[in-house]
Amino acid sequence: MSEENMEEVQMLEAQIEHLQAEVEALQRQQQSNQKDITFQFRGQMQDAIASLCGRGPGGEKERVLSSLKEEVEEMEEDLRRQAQMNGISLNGCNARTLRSSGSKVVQQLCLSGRCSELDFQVEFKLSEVKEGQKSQRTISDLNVVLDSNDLENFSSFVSSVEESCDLLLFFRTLRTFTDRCDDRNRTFQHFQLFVADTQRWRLNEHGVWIRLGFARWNTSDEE
Amino acid sequence: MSWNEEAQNVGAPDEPVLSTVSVDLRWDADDRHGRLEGGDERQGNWKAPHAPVCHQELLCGSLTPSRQSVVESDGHGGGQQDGKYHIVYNREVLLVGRVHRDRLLAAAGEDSGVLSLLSLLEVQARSRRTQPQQQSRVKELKAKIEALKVQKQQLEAEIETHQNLQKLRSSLDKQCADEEDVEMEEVSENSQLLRLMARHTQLKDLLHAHHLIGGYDVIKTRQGKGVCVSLATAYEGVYLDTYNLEIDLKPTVKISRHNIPPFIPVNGLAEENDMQVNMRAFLDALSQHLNAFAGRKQQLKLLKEQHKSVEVMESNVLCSILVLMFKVPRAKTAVLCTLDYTDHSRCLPTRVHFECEDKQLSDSDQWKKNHSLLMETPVHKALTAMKNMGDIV
Repeated sequence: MSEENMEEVQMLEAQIEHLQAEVEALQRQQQSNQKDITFQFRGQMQDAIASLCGRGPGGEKERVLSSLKEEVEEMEEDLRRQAQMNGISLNGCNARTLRSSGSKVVQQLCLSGRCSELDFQVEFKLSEVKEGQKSQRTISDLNVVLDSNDLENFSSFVSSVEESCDLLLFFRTLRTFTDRCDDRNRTFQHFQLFVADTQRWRLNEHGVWIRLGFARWNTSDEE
Repeated sequence: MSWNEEAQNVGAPDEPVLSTVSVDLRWDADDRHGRLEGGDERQGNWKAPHAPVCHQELLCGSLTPSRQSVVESDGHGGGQQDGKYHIVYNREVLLVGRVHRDRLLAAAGEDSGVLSLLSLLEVQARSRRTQPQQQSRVKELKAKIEALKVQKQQLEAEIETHQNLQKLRSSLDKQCADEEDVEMEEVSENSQLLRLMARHTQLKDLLHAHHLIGGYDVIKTRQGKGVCVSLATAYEGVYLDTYNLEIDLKPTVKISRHNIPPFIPVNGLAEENDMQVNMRAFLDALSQHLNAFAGRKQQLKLLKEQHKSVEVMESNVLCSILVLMFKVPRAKTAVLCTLDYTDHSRCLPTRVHFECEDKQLSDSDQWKKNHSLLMETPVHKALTAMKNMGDIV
């Protein structure tokens, strides 16, 4: 081998080593980015990322944009349907992946939304453990914040729900409470009743309603 | 040395030649290296070997037998005069330019000089053959570098896109929280796509959140003529079984299929809650029943796991009745405890009853407390408390 060529080869090999080190560092960064579940993409989103990074053929961008638009519109409709059926409208969901190893994923979630006239914010940890084909999901560290004037009704219920981490029970109960409030308001409006003392209800720790007082209603006739 | 690599024919017009090299046999007094200068050789000027024997022997004979003779090209020289000479080596013609006869003779005289020259020629002829390999190694490395550069660019693009997406998503979240309208800044195709992607991640998270809080996951089926609903159950933070219902909307609203166990009165609840008019009331009631059932079942499972000393005498599929046998320490009696869960929409008992041979025990204050405990606390937790107080083993 000639000396010139040997020098050139050595220089090229050094360049390759340098590039390989750079590529490896970038791959590590990408891997850590992908641990965040929010940014693990499939389907249309994967196509979109590919087209943004110049991986697909040139004319693809328009097609990808229109397909993704369609999918997003479907999801918007889906969200409206869920909100209507569940009686709860969620306006914020932040998920932070705390741990993502082979069989266990732990996320910190913060949800905010509204149920009828009541605003709420809920924070909790969600763990998902894979055992063979099944996976078990568990909630822990539940924290509930309610923006309500009826807090006294709720406080013992909320603390017991936080302790037992019964997220589903909280939302079931929230919904029946607001439904009942809405029903009561509608009923009173319908009959044009004036209420001197409203019925007093209290929610116990298990989400069961306990009546505390009695109502006295004045009808408009008496006036 | 200068090399003329043009291939030419030697001898017969169509005789192929691998490559040609011109060598300057100029005698260099200092390092005793000879060189032959390149000249102008064309086919047709070749003449039959006419070199003097002394030249042939000197230049070719002493090395490898594959060497051929020096061929005189223009008729001049021939060992007597200056002329053009070619050394043909392994069917390769080493072009020779005008050579001074006396130089050749002088070179010939220095045997090592000529030998070293010819061995150098040999090496260089060989290396010409290996040079393509060397070229291809360089090409290979350059191609690899290009590939790595492309890979690096793609990774950088992906990472940058990811960062942009995160930023957009954060600003979207903030806008939704503050209930502001989404403003449009740049309208480039890329930013449009990025914005759409950020919204996609937000919608995906919100839909997942609906699912997590026990939402019904309503899906339209059969072109809007039906819906499919999922009912999730959970107890004390652990997600349990999910049940599914398929409901026809047209021509009438009725349940077409489900995987709910038969001891849950699905149709009864549908009637009670007027499913046709108020779907949500029906689903809420059904969800309450299913969650209560899941809760009772889970309590039984935890009881069996955590309190092996307590014997489960009787239980049923609906988990609406539970009979347990407690062992009381110190006293050598057992207490039979019956828990009735007659309200199937709750996971706490409606009635607790103790049976014990020792009447005093079951009437004692301590056991009255245990009675309240079992009425108000999930059974597995109540038993833990009773164990801690030393009432049961």
